[in-house]
Amino acid sequence: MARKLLAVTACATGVAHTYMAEKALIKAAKKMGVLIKVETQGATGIGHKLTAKDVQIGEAVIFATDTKVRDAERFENKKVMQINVSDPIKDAEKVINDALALADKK
Amino acid sequence: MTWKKFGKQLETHIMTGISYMIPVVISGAVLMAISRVGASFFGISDIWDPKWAKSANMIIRFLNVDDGWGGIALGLMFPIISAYIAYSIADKGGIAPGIIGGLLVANMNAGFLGALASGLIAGYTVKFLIDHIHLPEAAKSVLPVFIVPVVGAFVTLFLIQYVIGIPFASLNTGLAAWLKGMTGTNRILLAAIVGGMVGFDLGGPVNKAAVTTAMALLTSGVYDPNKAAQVAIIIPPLGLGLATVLGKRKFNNELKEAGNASLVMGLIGVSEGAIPFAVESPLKVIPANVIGSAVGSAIALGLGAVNRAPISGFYGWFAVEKWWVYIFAILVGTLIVTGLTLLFRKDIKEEQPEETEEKSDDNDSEYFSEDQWEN
Repeated sequence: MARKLLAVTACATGVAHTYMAEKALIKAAKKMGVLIKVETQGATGIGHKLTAKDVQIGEAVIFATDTKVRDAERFENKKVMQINVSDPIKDAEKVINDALALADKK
Repeated sequence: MTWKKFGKQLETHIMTGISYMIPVVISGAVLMAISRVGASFFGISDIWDPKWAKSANMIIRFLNVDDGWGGIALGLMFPIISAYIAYSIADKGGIAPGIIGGLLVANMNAGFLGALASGLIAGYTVKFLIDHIHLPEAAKSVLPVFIVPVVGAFVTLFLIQYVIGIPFASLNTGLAAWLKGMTGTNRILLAAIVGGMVGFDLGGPVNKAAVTTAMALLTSGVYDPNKAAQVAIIIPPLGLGLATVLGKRKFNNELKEAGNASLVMGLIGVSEGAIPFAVESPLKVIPANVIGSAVGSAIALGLGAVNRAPISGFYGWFAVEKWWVYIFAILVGTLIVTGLTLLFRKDIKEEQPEETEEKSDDNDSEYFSEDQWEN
């Protein structure tokens, strides 16, 4: 069964990095055979909003954010990895590996 | 909680505040720039002066009004950043004390640092109240509707008025006066340093420190660092992108692809477009970026372009005073990065075989079905 991750991306301006990080994560996940759902909290609102069901399914959550995550209470009790929005843009595979490792940690 | 973690949280709070403040600053700065650039066609350099409100020319009267609109928007900067720093710390409850405190900061002229302090005070005060006051179930609603707004605002206002307001105001005036008073070589040196910092790590900590400080100073009416930073942001991605177009033999296919993306990102003001190059050969790319950005910034400032908006993309260029100088500075900086890059790099020995990458990128977000996700 494929591994499943969640991510939220957000940057200060909300027009470029938010979406670059989203693309980088999806591209790397696809390559690695990991399923990932990425929610973008950009200047024009929330894209691909993660539902309660999504949150239940995902093994861990990546917060690739420079700003406050909106509706963060959805992810209470989930394993959350907080990183900068630029991290996935630089090396998304490492980010995903780190998140998988976090999910495996007891 | 460790200091490092606390620092990261503090950064998140401040970035959240800045993130909500940016649209306000952009609307204000561009409205004001339209009025000032428009006024320059009539040879007017003080369009904000009330005397123009009585001008016989309707356009001039409008430009005067438009300048006022810009002023109103910019006046909201401190309340908004303070409110949203507090919101980042304490959620909705932080907004009221934060916005009120921010307005007092604006009235006392306590500057950007005052606004940061106001947001932090309001946020942590409200968070403390929410975490530590436990009321019986029946009276629970008294906390968010009465205690948090009243006590939060009182504590914030009291501390600003009697403790931090005056020292921050003099700090702010002093710093602004020092920067505004810079002339000649010092001023150009400042621009070159800001530009070099921005070009150094492309969105990393050094870049962010320079850009954030520049934006902060913008709010005190000091435009030099902002102008230098905005010019420098787009030079590395443009320069490296151009290098891949001019020196096709010096880059592999992957970097050529990155070069096209880099050009587009440069035009919309995202320096991270240059990251693939900096990752591939940092020792060649970083010096070229630093030199190009520093020179570009110094030229823009030395020749007197004025960018009041925190926008570096091409859509902000028209709002720059002396935009032709500004574009010239960008061009020179870009060519320096391109030239140095081409000089530093050697031709690749053998042409790499064309990669056969699958063309499914458009549908990336849908690469698995809902069924796969749920099972």
